[in-house]
Amino acid sequence: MAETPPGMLRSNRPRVELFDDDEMLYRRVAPADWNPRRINRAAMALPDMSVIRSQYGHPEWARLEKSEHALWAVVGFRVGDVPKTIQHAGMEFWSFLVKHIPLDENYPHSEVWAFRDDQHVQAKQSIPKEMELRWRDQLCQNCRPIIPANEPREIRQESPSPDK
Amino acid sequence: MPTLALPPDGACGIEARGDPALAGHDGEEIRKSFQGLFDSYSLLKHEDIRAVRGYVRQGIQDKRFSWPQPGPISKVEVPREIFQNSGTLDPWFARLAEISNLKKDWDGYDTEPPATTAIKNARLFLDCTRGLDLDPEFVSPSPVGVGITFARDVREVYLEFYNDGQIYALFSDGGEPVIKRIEVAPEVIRQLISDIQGYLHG
Repeated sequence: MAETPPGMLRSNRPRVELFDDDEMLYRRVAPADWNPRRINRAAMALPDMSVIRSQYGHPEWARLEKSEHALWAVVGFRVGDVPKTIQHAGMEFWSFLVKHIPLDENYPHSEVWAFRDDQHVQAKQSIPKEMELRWRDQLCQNCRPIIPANEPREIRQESPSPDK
Repeated sequence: MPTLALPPDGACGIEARGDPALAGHDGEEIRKSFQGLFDSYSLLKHEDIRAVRGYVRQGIQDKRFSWPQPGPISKVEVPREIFQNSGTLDPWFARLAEISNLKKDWDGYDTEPPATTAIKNARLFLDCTRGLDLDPEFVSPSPVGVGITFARDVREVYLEFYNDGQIYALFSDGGEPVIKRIEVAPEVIRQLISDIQGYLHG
């Protein structure tokens, strides 16, 4: 892994649960699974999908997990574009929330959580396939490329200004 | 027990038969039809088949082949060249081979690699599209298996080959998607391919 930018470290900063609908969320995609024409649904998944929130992180920071991810593509979507609810099989009510889950070396780390009847669902096998495919489809309609694959980018060191 | 074995690339369907002149069954032709998605077929002991003719279905076309053998056949393997010359599909089979080598946490999100079943079903599906005007946009590992995307303009068909062996197809044009569960059976796969072609080109 490349050296962690100082602005990416948690440094005792608190969890911030408030998200603006216009805040961007970033996720990396392998070069072989990316093209500039459309977003690959295979790149998205429930439950607890990891992303980087733009209030505290830059898109290129999504490439810093491991050295082999250095030239992966980064895609992004607005918090407001995460599907809010899906009714499944006529009786299950699923809802989705973005949660700030800061890590020591990745303060902007966040996750998209799924809830069935207000209960957080973390087991992959508990996610109905048809519901999850519908969720992925809706999300990908509003997702867009942010950094193309194989394109080097300067890694900014400081956290974005919260008021930008 | 004698075995008809297919290589890991698999096939969509195969038909093999005994040659009556060689099988020693008084001219009675031994015919065995094997239709389906499978890796191997075990012959019964009394099926003294000494030659096999057959075909591998490639899209809507069949590629024929045969193995005359000097003695009883204990194991028949489909020559790998049967599965070659797949044209534009070759990179996607290579991609599947890459996917089969992924390790846990391949994406840095702690994701498990796709299961063998998912890769096998994806490969069998691609086998069925050989010779057709149906080139994938993506063949990708996903957090739940293997995803194959076909696309034309705003219309997309996303197939998820799940790690538990199930297959789902999503047809999307930006509106409410149509999602179908797909049974792993040759006639269902052929209908799915026809549906995909109709959806993208209709």
